[in-house]
Amino acid sequence: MKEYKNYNLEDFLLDDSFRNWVLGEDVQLDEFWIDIGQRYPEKQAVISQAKDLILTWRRQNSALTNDEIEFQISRILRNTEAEPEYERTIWSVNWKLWSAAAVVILALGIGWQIWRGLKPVPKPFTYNAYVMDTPVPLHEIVNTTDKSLKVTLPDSSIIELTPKSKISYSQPFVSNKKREVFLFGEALFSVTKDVQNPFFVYANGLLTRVVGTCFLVKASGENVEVLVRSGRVSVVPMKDVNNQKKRNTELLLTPNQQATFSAKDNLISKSIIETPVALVKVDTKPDFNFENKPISTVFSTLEKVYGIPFIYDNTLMNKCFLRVKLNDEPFFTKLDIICQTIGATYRISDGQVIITSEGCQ
Amino acid sequence: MEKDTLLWQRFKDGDRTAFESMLILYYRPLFEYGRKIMHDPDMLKDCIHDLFTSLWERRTSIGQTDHIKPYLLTSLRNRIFKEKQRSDLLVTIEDWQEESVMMEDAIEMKIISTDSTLENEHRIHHIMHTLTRRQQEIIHLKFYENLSNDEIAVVMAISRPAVSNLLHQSLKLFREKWLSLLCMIIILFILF
Repeated sequence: MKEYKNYNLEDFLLDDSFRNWVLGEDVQLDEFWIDIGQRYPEKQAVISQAKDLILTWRRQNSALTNDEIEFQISRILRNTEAEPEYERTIWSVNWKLWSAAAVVILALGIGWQIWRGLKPVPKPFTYNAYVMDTPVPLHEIVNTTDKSLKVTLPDSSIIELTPKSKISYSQPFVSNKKREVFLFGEALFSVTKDVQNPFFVYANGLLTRVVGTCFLVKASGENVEVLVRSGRVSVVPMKDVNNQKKRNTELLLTPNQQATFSAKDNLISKSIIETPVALVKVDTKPDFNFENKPISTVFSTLEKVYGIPFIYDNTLMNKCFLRVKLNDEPFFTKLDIICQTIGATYRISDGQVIITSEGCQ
Repeated sequence: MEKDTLLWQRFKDGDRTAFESMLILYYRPLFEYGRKIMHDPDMLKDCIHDLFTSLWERRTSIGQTDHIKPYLLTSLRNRIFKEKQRSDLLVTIEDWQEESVMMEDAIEMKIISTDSTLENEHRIHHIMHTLTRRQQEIIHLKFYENLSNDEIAVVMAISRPAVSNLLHQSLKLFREKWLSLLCMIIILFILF
């Protein structure tokens, strides 16, 4: 038994068992420490001081809000996702190595020619090709009406199918820990959250992967567009799905962003959807009544409400204040009004709003 | 910890969800810790951003770890000092260890003159700020991040005995300040 009667404040603070008890990490410690408190009544005061300190220190959070954290996290995710595939080449004159390399390249070249002759023609990633290729029987739904058709999937996800569009899915729906839907045309997906079984949409060479969210897929003609309403969605060209090295082409979309995929060039680009809507999770009505607010506050309000990142030079614009009352205007109208008021311009790049300004007087 | 080893391995293999869960798990702890050694929150956010992007880029070449949090805290600490050295707001490591003691009297007066019902929590908070940065840092690592002394030694790049020494010293100072403050408040309370 330790000498608790000589314990001072520091000793209690640094006692692991005491700390764990205070933080409630181990209920079994309850009895022990209550007993100590009773056995050394003169220590009661010190014990309660130590408790206060530990709990207060544990709580000391700075003003960082969860929204801000989420924004910072998506900034990091965004900036790490589409890293270019580059290999550093070291140029050195090592002729032995070079000649060896030349032989290998020649051999590979010949091998490739032979292999190409044998290889079957690569299948295009069209709807028909998917449907023909799937080993299990598929359930197909075609919208032959001239109105949009609501389809409820076995996992209770809802798809709104526009006229002349069709989808197929396997029976049973969840197989191999996947939920897979093949799409031709255009459809709005409201996916039921199920972390165990991610949801995949195959559309014209583009694979969209989600957990639970709401988004629109338009696969008509050459291009596929994916527009995100809520949640997170990732898209990747079918060509790169099985190619681990090329997984970097995977693009993460957050609400109000859209990806446009060109099947011809196998390229995805990211932008902002035409009429961004306020994010669903905003509980209180956002306040766009800016009474002489610094421009950074204005942008961060818009950032939060629409989930669209703003890029601007804060030091240059720190003298810009805005006095304007905004309401239910569409996102881009708001942006026009703000920029005209402070004499700035904006452009959209890579799903972000980039503000150019010369500063304010 | 086995869980850490697994998560780290998945991250090294390029698993985006592992990377994202690391961000979700450790963003706040890193930020709270960073605030103890860096004043400007925006610069700090940039430091954390650069820390994670460079981790992602170097993921295949970095080593194994079974203690992700101390690893990240250490990397952030190094990065902040590098950043500080680069910027003109430079405060060298030796300098900032002793700064902020000057503020002490002013703050103490303020607390006493407010009134005796001021909450305990505020007092604790104020006393914290009268400690040196280094003392604040170690108390934060021990009580907020809940690190063991060994882990603190790694993060702060000092020896293990130095950790327990500094920890004791900081807490003792804290206790003395706290008690004298409590006494003063009681005396003032009796007087008026």
